Amino acid sequence: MKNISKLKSIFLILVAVVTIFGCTKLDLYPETSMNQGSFFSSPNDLSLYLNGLYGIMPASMTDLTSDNILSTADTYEYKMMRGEVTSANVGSWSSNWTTIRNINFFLDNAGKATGNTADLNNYIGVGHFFRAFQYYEMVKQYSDVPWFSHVLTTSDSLSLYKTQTKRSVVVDSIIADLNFAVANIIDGTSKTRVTKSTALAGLARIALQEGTMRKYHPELGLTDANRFLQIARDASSQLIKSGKFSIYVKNGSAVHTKAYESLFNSADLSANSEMIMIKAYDLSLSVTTIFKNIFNNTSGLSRDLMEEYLAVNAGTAIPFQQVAGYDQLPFTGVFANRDPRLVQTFMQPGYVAPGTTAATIPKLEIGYIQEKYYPLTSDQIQLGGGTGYDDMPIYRLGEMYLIYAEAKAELGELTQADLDLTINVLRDRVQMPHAVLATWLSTVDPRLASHYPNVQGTMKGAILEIRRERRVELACEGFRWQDLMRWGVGKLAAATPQGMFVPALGYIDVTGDGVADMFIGATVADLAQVTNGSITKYSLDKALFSLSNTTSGYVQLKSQLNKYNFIEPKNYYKPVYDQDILTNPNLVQNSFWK
Amino acid sequence: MRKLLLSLVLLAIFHMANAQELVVTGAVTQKSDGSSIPGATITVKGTKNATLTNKLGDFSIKVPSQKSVLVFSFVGMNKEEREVGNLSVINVAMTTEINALNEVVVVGYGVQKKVNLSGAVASVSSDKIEDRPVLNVGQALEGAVGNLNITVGNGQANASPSYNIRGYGSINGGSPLIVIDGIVADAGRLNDMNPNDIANVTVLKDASASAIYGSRAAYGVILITTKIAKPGKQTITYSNNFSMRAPTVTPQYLLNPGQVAKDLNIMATLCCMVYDKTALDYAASRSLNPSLPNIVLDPTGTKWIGLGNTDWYKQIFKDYGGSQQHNLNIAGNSDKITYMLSGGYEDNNGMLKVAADTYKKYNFLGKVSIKLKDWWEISNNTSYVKNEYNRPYALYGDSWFFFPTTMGTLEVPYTPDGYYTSAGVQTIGSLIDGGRYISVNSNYQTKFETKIDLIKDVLSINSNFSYYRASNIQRYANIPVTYMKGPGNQQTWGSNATATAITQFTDQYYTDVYANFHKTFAGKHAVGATLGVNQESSRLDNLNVGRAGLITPSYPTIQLATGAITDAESISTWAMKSTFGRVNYSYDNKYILEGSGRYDGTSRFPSNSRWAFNPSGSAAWVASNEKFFQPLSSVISFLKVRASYGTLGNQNVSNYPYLPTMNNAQSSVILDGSRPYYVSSPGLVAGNLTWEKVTTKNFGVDINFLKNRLTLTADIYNRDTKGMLSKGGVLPNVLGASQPLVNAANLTTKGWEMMVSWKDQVTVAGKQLNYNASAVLSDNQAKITKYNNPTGTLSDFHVGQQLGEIWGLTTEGFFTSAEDITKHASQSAVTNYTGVNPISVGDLKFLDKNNDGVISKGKWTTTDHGDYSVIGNTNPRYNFGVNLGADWNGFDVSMFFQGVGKKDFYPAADGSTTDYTFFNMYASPWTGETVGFTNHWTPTNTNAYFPRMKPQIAESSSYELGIPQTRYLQNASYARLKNLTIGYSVPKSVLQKCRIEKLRIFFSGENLFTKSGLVAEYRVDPELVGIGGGGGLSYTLQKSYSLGLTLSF
Repeated sequence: MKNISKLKSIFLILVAVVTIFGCTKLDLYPETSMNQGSFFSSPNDLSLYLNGLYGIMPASMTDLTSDNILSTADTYEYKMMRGEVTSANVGSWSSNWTTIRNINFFLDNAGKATGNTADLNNYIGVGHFFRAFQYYEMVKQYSDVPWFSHVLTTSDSLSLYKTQTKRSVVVDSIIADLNFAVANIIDGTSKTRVTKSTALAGLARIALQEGTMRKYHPELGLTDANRFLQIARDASSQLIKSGKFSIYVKNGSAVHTKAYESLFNSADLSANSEMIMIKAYDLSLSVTTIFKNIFNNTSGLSRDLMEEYLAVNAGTAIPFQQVAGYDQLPFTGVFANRDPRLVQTFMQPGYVAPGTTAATIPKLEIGYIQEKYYPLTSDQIQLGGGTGYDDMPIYRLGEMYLIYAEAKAELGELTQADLDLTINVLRDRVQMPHAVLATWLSTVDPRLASHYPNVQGTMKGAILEIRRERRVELACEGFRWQDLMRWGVGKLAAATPQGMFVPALGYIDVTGDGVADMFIGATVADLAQVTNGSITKYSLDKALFSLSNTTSGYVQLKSQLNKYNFIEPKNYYKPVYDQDILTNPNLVQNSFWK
Repeated sequence: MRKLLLSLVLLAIFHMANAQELVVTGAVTQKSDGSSIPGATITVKGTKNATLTNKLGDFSIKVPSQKSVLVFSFVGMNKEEREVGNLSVINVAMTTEINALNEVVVVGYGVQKKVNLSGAVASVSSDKIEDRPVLNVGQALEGAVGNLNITVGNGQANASPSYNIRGYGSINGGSPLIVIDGIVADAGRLNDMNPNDIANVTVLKDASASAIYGSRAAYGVILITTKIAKPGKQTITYSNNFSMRAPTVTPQYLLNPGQVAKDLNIMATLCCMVYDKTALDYAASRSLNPSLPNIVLDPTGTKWIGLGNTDWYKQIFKDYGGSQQHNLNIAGNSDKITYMLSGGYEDNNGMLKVAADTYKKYNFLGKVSIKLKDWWEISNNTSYVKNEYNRPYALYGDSWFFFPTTMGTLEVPYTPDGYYTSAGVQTIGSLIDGGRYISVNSNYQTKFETKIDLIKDVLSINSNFSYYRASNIQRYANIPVTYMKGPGNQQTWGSNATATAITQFTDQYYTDVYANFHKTFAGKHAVGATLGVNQESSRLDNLNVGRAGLITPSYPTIQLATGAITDAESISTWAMKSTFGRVNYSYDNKYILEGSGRYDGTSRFPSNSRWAFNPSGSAAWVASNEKFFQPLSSVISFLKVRASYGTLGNQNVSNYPYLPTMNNAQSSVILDGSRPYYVSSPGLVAGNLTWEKVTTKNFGVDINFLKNRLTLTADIYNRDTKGMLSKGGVLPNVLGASQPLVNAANLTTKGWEMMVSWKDQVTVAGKQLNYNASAVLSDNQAKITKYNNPTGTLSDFHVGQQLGEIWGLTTEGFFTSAEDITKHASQSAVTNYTGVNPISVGDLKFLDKNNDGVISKGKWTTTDHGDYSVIGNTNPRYNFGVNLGADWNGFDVSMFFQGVGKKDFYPAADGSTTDYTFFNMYASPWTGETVGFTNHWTPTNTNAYFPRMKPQIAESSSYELGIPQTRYLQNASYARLKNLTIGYSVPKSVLQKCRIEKLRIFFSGENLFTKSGLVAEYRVDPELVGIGGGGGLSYTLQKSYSLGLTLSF
């Protein structure tokens, strides 16, 4: 009897065990992530994937590195010009390829989706736009890069180990991608998503860059610059003539006196008529910018940029160099009678930052303080010491005007009508006298001519002045370094950057109220004479800067004094990292870096 | 079988019917203090006739004849035998057992006598763990077992120690399997336990011991067994302790405003001049007259300037904190039912001074076991833990300590009108008003178990089912705090008040069924076997919701917020099925053989490669049981040599490593007014993932000397980890994705451990004095033997690398003259400056090791590393623990020392783990100046520790002081009096009148004394060095003084 119950209970246990073991599976799958077969089925899926690629679209608020900037911060470009960059320390290009993979993964799979054909083609067009954008970013650095139109697998050794594709082939593929994008993307009203207008703007920018690269870089051996200049001309023209965008001058019905500056310090640009594509920021969405380094912290604007702005003399625009004693003017003296864009880009003496009561004292060693992009609201200035949420332009009509004018001038086709359609509209906004083509062509500014010695031909004067207009209008928007590169004038970036002019040691007024608020002594011992504690003091023996004539002259950073040398044409290109060549011996080092 | 039983019963009846019965009475006492022993067993030798002593220790038993022998036994006491003869009263005074040979050790799915073990196994009993004012079990186990390496974390009340057995296991991590009462658990559940519930901790170190746990046991097993009721009676035990806690070591700041302001100006030269003459003069006058206001307005009257003498450490931490623990345990054991109910409460007030960080823990454990039949036992084991940790949100981790450790002593927390200053808000203001973080864990586990004896003492079947449910709810609010930069100039620290709630639930099911067989054939052939099946599954659900825009900070809840919502959900599942077995055989207690293995299937690998069989074997020879050994037996009472070999798999991988998946996440880009969601591309996965194979060879010896009073156990091992998941052949970067990991790297860990203990008793003043001493010592080192790094770059793992090695320069000293500088090799390749600060006298001078005229990193490969060499190793070596104890006449005392014999550390200057309490103003000029910093080079103090005051040279590892180098390499070895306990037990004779079983009062102190190898300039707790933020950037560890009592009825 006892053993029977024992057997019974053992039997029960065994039944329970078999039941439990039979039920549990070892085939477990993720529940909060998908396998790829269940995605890419509808236009909505395509849109959902593309949302993740928008991060590659940049917006810049500084021209670091370039001749527009003085900076105590170091950059790749400064290191390169100091000769410190080598193929052994340049670092890998791997992050670029992650983006290319993500885009190609989309393009390889997007065809599986079914639905409204126009919608599908629209999204596929956006994918092509992103690939073109990303690839051209790589062409700008390396010139020749391997082209992949499909996603790579670990076993695809033919592609993994292939050599670079020639620049001409890569760029043709990029243009093909952009043409597909222009043809297929629907022209919506969004300013944050890629529209047909965005694709045209992207095409215009890339084509202008490529056209001028081929024109001013004989080492490339490519003679078809005009083909790209024509594409740039036509794409920008199409945008200008579409009537979809207009230069922003009015706030409601009233003329905005600082309409130009307001493009860079507005919380919301999504309704701004000039914007083709913007980068949006919003504090409540925790998407913010960091701007503190640009504004009186580690970098500022240069004397060279300040002097580029035209002066206005009795209703006529003249080069600043024609103003008597222009090179001896103190900080408080350079802003009078200038292109109004100067004071909407540079902080004037006496500027009181929002939320503060005292005038801002510039840090001498970083030159002029940048005002463009500086927020108008004190909370942005205070938030965590420099967190901003003003929107920023990515593509704006103003740039399209400059692309159109430059392309036309480079093609030798520029007319006064073209100027009136473009540059003079930009000048009207800031009430600058109109540009007159005949004057440009007849009187070439010697300063610009020495800056750009490789510009020749009948349109020389126009090309130079368009470059001035571009430098002024697009200052601090991140174009300058690439402009120097494509125009073949890298040497301009190697000059020792200079800041404001200091007439003599001793007390200086930097706020424009006639009262000294700064003191520069030769040595620390000199500072003892300063009894007013509110005065900012520098001693040349300890300061980060020196003066160009020892005890007077332009401020120059000691760390940047005669440090830079731009080697042509080598420094127009970035070397391929040794380790990348080591893993793929078929890759070829850029010939100038061998 | 049945026949045998029948005849035994008949025999007993026959005896009872025929024998002439005698009655013997008496009392059983403890020889040491004369107290009575209730519950002692008295058996008539050779019969089943037995009785127990009553509460007063008295007994009465009928014996068949005068020739009968009575056997007195009691747990922990030596057995005593007395022939009845013509005595009718037999009083016995029992002595404490010191014979280690009968020690029983818990092993996987069963117990074994320690003498019969052939693997590397060590155990710790409850007396090392209970009644210590520790925050968790891990702190109590530190140093208790050789090569059980425990990292305590930090001194936060909810700190979670991490566990390691025998050193570095795999580049992918590998930690011991933790099994609590037969159920696989994890470190978190171990740390949650009430240390007083633990009866025994066993550590299975080698493959042969842990193989029965299979693929998760490659790096050892920690087995925890909870207490059970002692036989015979019901006891109620209450114990408590009240502790006072104080930081072990605190940085020492120079609180002299005049000098600090002067030094700060020097150290900030590169960026700016911080203080003008007016401020410097004022600071100097404050040094002389500290009653002057510590904060003044700048000349414009718009900005506050602190010129104080604030010790931020003291602002944040209390001098003394308090904690208390209470435990109640009710246990009983009768013929049919054994039970134990235990409750624990712990309350720790934390060390924060300005805002509370409190920790409360409630433990409940209920165990009951019922003998339904004499062959059938069912039991249940249910535990519930709730703990609540409540801290300022700002104290999010060690990295927060950046703020107080870099905050200058000149800064002061409050403006004269009582607002926070900028310095105040970053340090204490964010703690006080920046919102709270509350985490509540509520974990429940129940286990049903049934045991059926098919053949009593020979064959039994056990079956377990357990369910574990853990819930963790975290709520926190991140609230901006306002402060005053100057009068009327209000600013805000932090942005956007946000409330977040995280709920996480874990469900785990665990089932196993196994049979145990033991039988000795022909008196000499002992055979044991275990065979079973096991199955586990686990599911984790996590929901994380946050919302910005709190309406009011007083109600930090998502419900009362208006801003953007962020949310995330994750679900993670895994399951395992296994079959396991073990066979052991011993011949005549001399030759022991054991083999075990487990066949595991896991959901983590694809179906064609998810199953793995992991076998192991071991053998031992008890030489002392050989006839030829007899002459030696008076000296060596026991000698056993052991050897084992086995291979286990390591499945330390994510839950779905072989499945490429696409995830959905919220973009950080605003598109059309909102942050949209996006789906991302899948990563690359390898189709042929398999388990890492971990092979352990172990050789050990157990020797007992002098009648087992002196014991020695020593083991030496070699553990090869092969096929670690790592990058395979390097593919070109154009692939555009992280390469799938493949099983491509190997490493070898070598080490040894030993334990010596001495136990004896002597008679002092007529009373028994028991004393004991034991020590453990261990070592391990790991080396990479295969890794795909063809260029030999030192930035990655490389073959021949000793894990933990520190590469650095050799410091020759300071430059002494201009000539010295020009003659010396150029140092510009390793110390470049963005500013202007050339090498000068008093700067660090590095040895040109390769004599090439420049100090450089070379190509930073194994073959070309310039002047760099391995200058130390962070892997702790020679971990040790020493335990001393004695008791006499009711008094007991024990001391426990723990330490590390060798460990190097560089207070790294890579920006994320720079220890500002060491590098100080060299790392950031605004850092509070420590007394240690003042020992720097000056023309009159050329024999200083630090170089001349040169700005920013510790800011990165490419500057002079940031470079790891011999001069500032720290010796992080230490020895620490981990615990000192002094107790007194009130004599039983006194207590019996009050019906009290036991009353002991004790003092217990933790971390009372430390000897550290760190330089005097570096004032941090050596145990925290190299962990988290570095040393100074950690929540301070504490020493504690506690008083407590234990009371049993």
